[in-house]
Amino acid sequence: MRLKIFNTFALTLLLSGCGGGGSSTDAVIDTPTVDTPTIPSTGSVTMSGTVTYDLVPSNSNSIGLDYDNIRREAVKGVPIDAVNSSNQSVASTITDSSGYYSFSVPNNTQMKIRVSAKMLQTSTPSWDVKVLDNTNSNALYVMEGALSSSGTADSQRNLNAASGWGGTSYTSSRTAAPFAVLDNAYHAIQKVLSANANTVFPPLVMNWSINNVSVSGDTSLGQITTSHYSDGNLFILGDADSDTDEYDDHVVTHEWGHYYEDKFSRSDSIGGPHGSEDRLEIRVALGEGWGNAFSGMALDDPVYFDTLGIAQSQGFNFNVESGTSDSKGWYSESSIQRILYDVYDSNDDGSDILSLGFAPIHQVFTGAEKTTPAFTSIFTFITALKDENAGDADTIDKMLLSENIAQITDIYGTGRINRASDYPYHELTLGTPLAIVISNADGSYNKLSNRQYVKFTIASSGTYTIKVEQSNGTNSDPDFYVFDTAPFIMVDSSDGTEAGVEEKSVPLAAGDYLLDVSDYKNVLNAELTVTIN
Amino acid sequence: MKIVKILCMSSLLISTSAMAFSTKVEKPAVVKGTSIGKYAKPGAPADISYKSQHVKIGDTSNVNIILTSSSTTGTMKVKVKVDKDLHEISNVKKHFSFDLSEGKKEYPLHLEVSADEDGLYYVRIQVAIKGQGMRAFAVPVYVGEAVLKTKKTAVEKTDKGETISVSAAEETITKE
Repeated sequence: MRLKIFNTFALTLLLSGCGGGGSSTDAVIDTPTVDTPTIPSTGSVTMSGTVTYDLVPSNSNSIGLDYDNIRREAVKGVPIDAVNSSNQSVASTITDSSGYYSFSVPNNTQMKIRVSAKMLQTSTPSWDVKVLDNTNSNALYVMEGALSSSGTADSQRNLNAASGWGGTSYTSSRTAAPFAVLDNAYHAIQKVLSANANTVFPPLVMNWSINNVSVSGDTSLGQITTSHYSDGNLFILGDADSDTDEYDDHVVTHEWGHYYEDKFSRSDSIGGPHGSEDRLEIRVALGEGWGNAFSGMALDDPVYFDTLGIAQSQGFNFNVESGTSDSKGWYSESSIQRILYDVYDSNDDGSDILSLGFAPIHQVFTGAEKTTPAFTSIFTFITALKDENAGDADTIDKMLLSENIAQITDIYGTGRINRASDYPYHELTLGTPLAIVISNADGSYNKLSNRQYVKFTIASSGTYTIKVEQSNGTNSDPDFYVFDTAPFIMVDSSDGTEAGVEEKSVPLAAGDYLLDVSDYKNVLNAELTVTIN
Repeated sequence: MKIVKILCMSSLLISTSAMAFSTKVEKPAVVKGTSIGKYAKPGAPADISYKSQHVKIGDTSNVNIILTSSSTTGTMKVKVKVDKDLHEISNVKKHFSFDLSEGKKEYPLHLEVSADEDGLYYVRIQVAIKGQGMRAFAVPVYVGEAVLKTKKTAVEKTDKGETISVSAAEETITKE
């Protein structure tokens, strides 16, 4: 016998649970017990099946989603529960990489299959990933089949999470979306496990909602700024007809790449807006180039796409393998993503004859990059990669050159040729003034010329006065941040509002330090003098 | 003390302060926001700053939007979409473009809107800069008791106490 059931049971049950009187729709309610004929269970049967979700691919030109070619994709590595009419789990298992599950359940018992949008493994390797609705009590997304008797013989229950697409818009529950989001974490985890099979992944919450819109504010209202990572949480857009990211797998995986930086490596990126043609501050350029490159690695697809607009029909894309840009260089996320992807991939093209795979990249990010005394940048990454893969150093240098990046010989990137005047590092001797220039020539906040870094050494512990003063006027508002480099941590900062000058006495122990100097007012050319006494 | 602080992760965000949702709106309260300095996923190099008025049902909310871009060449195409339950009193073009130039840094928009029901509404902006991608923004408009307009799925508890949001699966049952 073959039955196809579109399960409306749960919805009916919940609507009745809301009752009259204007009860809050986000109140937590217990599932009522349902009276069903009870036949004493005297044995067990095998229940099995396959769990899938509707994957909406991008159009063949990677612009917009292609709802005409929705395909079913396996829901991998998630918990499956057989839940009886008293809301008790009577059997549980995990789907395999094909979405298949099988377990022994009591016979002649009313039960439904519950599929949770989470992945949990507590033995090494371990992971703990959940997809929650940040606008609805942080509830875990699940889908359920219908209550039906397990019968007296083995049976199959196949479940699919539907996209909810009704032809021209979403017309029903977007059940597939949380499972699509989760699938990106599955692929990312697999990529890391390919480099280290015993990885312990810190917990990750993936927050997705149809209410998640592109504005900053209260995340419980869905005001998440944009799809992003923050402190163990991914927030993913779900705003239909404007910007949804649940099927933009590279967008989700890019953000997972920031989780990876945070939990396994180190990123000194200051964030902020960034684009493919921007000349970025070096920390941001590495972080964003890494995110883009990692999305290509984890998905084994170099075409990054992001869909937007009415019916998710528009968008843009770029290729982290074969793309190009007008602003190549050590400050370009585009250059960095191509270099990282070329180090990884097995496709030789142009100067890319390197195919190291993911393991050496993982080794650098989880090793030298975590403790480097310089700010994290393409300089620190390449220096460590060459140190650890000395036989490939010449090839790596040629790949750099194809992106207008001169040979990198140290973690500070000494010897820049391209945009050398914007090279950010400077050496300061205590008691000797150092002249630097900060500008908005490339944009504001996180662009190449917005920040300068000053290296200095403290020979003996004490309190030192750090002063940054404008020498060509008072229209700027200098700020500075002080970093101890071993271990690498910000130890102090000064961001007062006095025009043209910033000064603070800071207690410092003996060691090597970095000063990050910026101008809050972001004027065109602020000529600054730095002194430390 | 300035608000901007250095952050160690690109995506650690500085959230705006929690919005107060009063049930009675005696006079328009200005709601301000910006994307400047906040994490942005890859896309067009554009930012938005806005002011909108939290108004009573039927009152006009002035919505002032300023778009900016670090790009100084090319064209920024803009699309504007107003929530269907938000009445637009002004008559702003919904599709237009700005020529990006070195000297001009800000591209302003002004809308006047109102609503017949309490709610949290949005004016949505989409920008595209050729060769540099696209970006979506939303500008909130709070009317009366500004609650989310979308219906929430009621949540349940599992037998282990986990809070869940249940959707129905498409299911095929085969009995042998």
